[in-house]
Amino acid sequence: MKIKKEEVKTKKLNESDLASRIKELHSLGELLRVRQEEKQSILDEYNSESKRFFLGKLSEKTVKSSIKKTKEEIKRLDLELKDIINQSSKKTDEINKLILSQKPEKFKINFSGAYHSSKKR
Amino acid sequence: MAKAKMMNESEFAKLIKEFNAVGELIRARQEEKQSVINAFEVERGRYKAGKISRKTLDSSIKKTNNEFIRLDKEIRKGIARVNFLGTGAKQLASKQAPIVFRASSAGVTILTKKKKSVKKKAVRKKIVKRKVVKKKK
Repeated sequence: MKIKKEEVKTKKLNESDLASRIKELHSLGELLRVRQEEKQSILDEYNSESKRFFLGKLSEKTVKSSIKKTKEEIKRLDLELKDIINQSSKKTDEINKLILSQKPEKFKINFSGAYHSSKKR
Repeated sequence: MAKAKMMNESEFAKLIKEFNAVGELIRARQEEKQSVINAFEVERGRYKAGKISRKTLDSSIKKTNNEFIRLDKEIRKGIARVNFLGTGAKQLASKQAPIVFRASSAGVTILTKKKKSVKKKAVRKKIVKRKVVKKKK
């Protein structure tokens, strides 16, 4: 009876999986930057509004409502930013884990063929 | 003027690019390793068929084992690089933690955390025991 010999195979990194994770990380980075720019534009807008108030072009009531609106917007954006930072940290961990699992297996070669040196024959 | 934090996009893009490159490198080395194994199996088949001598196969074994060592080293190097890049990406992201601003009628101000005042511990006064001098009678 012939014994079918097990074919020795090396670990293979799932490239598409890695690429999709990296893509996600990239999109998170872009989103982070977009939200930061959005925050900056809100701050700029509020600054111009307060200047107009000092020049007497706006009433105090309008400025007050603007303050409230700005505060809420900043709060929302800060929460979103924190969430994105957390997500990107998690994604980085996932990538690291995926790569770490590719730690090479030790093979040894002799006259009888290639075999895992860690596994008992 | 109040300025929100801005992430260095080019640095981040560079990190992402390197992530991809190292991933591809690891995959390439793994495939190289597989091809080395396959090549050895072919060689062994030829030895079995009596087409090559034992000496040749012996030198092939040595060469293959050395190749394995080299490839494993490169793969490990790639893994370490990814780990390093991951730490960098995490740091870059955590640096972007938002600054807290407050809008008031006076404009936008940055809210910074007040430093906790460190209370100095009161130094205990040493109690000096006076020696009681006995009066001589």
